[in-house]
Amino acid sequence: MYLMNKRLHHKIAQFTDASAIKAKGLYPYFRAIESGQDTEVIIGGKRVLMFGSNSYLGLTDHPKIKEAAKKAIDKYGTGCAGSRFLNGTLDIHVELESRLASYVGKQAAILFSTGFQVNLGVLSCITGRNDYLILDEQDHASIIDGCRLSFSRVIKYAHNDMRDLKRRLSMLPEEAVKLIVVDGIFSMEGDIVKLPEMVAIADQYGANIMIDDAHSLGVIGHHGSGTASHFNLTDQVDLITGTFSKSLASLGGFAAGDAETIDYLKHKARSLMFSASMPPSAVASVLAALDVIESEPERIEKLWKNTRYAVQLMLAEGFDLGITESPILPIYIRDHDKTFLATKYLLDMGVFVNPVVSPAVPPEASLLRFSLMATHSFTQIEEAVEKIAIVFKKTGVVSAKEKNTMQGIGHYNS
Amino acid sequence: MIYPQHLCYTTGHQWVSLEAQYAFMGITDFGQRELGHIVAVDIPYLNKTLERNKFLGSIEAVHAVLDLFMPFSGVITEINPDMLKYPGLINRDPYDMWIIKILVPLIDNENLLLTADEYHALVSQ
Ligand SMILES: Cc1ncc(COP(=O)(O)O)c(C=O)c1O
Repeated sequence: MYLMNKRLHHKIAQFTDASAIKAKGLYPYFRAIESGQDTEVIIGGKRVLMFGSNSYLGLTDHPKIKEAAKKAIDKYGTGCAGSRFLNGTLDIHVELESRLASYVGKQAAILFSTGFQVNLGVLSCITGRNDYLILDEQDHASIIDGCRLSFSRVIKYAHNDMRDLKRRLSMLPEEAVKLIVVDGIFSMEGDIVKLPEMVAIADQYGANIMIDDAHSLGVIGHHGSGTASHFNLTDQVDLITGTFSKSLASLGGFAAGDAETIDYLKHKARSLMFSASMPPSAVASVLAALDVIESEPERIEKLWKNTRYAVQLMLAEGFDLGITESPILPIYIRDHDKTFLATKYLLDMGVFVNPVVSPAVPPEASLLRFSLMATHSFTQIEEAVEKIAIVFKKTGVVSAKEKNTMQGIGHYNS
Repeated sequence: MIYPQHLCYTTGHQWVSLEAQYAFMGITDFGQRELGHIVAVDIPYLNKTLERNKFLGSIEAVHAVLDLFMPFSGVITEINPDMLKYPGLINRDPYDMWIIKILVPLIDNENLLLTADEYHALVSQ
């Protein structure tokens, strides 16, 4: 009998990107943290300053939130053993949904088990065959993948370029459903969607708007309630989605909108119907995190003071910060290898940052993603910026120090 | 006349209170006295991005009009509803009666705002 070759392993072996970086000793991924996700973490037994976390409000270690999670385990156990649709709905899921709806200013909300699944579930079912999904070219991977599951046509416009958006919308048929899907704060560049202009264009061309507020919740808007609130345009945004894996100290996600749309999603979004629901501890953590955000508004204020302070120090050092408008500070290195090298040197010196390289961004846009938390101290920020400056000298990253006329607005001294 | 230390000022008699994300803007005590009794405020650019120094609206008093200009580039996200209803309140409490709320840019290449002392020196000339 003739035996055909098994081909899978050969195919997998073609992928050498990761092993090539490992061979150079520069592999920066899957670094195991041996402590809580705080401003200082332990890696390899050593203290490391954390400037690569998405826990913008520093809530993952909050005693009230940990307490709430433990209590939920005591009452409901550790898992739900099924999807929301069938046996996996708890009273606290329903409570969190109504809490989130009023937090972001919408009629209703529905929970998913991760933010990634929100985009897969919503985008795969919300529009039909002759409709259009219109994306910013820098939208998150989960939005791209959600659109791949959709039967609609997908159109991309240049990053945050409202003229390009307008041009592309103007070419679409009037009778088609048109949904613009966009990140509120862009996860790598740190800039904010130009929502006021987008709303005007969407009104003109009959398009709806869905905002993914993964990085905006807890960061911008009234009590951190996101991008629409930040611009005072909540009624002009049709769907607001988010994740609990960043500021909200947990795991899971949601979509919020009018009651009819949310009801539709409950019966159509397959990543919701055919995947188990958020575990009780995760749900209770989010409820407690929302309580903390409302009762400790000084956290958001501190996050922004930290952000302004870091920007001020970095511009004084001549770092190339691009167009950020948020606590996500992209420090451009613009060289693939130097980005990995700088990440490695920084970890050796006790500073954790994330390298962002191609294919996530074009090679000439390679950067270190430096993100602030409300719980960082000014001393920690000073230490990190000093060390980055040292590493940039060592790796030959050219700073733009000649542009030292640059200044941030406002000075915060404590 | 009062020039609170924690505010920033423009040469056009506007005060700006910078918070971490937002700024509130109004007119100074000096500005409201120069104008006299304020009867209307017109801000046509809600939710529009305006560049620094661009005209953003005007304040009308019985005998004078004061044009307002953007202290930095940004979006006007709110106009004080109380102030719109009773513009005369600006005369009574110029530092409490903010006129607009603006989103503050995180990175700004030239900060042209004046400190309280600089503004005081300007209006004492
Ligand atoms: C914009 C955006 N959407 C969705 C997600 C996915 O969220 P989650 O971690 O809950 O899957 C992320 C996080 O990586 C994100 O940045």
